[in-house]
Amino acid sequence: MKVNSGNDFQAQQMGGSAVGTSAHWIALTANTATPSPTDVVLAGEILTPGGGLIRASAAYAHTTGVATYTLTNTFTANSSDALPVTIAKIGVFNQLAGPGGTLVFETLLTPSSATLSAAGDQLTITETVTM
Amino acid sequence: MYVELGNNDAVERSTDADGNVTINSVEGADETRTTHVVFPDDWSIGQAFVAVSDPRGVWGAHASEGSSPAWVASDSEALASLLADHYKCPVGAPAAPAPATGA
Repeated sequence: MKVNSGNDFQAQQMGGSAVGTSAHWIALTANTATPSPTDVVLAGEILTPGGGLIRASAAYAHTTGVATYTLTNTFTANSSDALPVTIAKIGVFNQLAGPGGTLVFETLLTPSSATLSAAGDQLTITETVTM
Repeated sequence: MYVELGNNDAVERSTDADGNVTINSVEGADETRTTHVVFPDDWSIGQAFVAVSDPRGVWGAHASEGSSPAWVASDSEALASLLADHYKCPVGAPAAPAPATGA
């Protein structure tokens, strides 16, 4: 879901004065609440200092002529993370440092949440954005 | 670091508010499109390889299930070689056909 602040960000980028950074940082949370258009933060965002599940930059991909693009990152839990944790939702932001920045997209994991139980466990997230 | 993948099986994937995923082949998908991937500056080749090749990664989101790229190209020879070996496809985009002379 593109939240309201995401609409404002997109309008500025496409029609107004574009800011220097795109929205390509993915954040994770165990919070299961359904995304709301009025959300401005990712509730329960994982912010563990030194952890492997904190907000991270994603790879951007686009296929010529197609009306979608994707953002992909593989998160790897480490010994700093509080485990086990079940990731239920992601947020896409326009900056690295959490919990700040503009929340642009907020999405529940499909088809289901993913549990990371030990250091070294990995989770690949691909967010598909339809334009 | 970037990768380009020749894509003969491009799809558009969308998710509705209930989490239901719809996958549609792109019109004219029998023509080769290019999937462009740009990686963060601090990523390793290993991270880039996983991001593309993981079943939940880039290629799986841009092409129909079970398909492989027609070719792969990259500014990293090592990454191109890894992906080409993984997908059993050639390195390098095919040369553009010569223009018709109209004779």
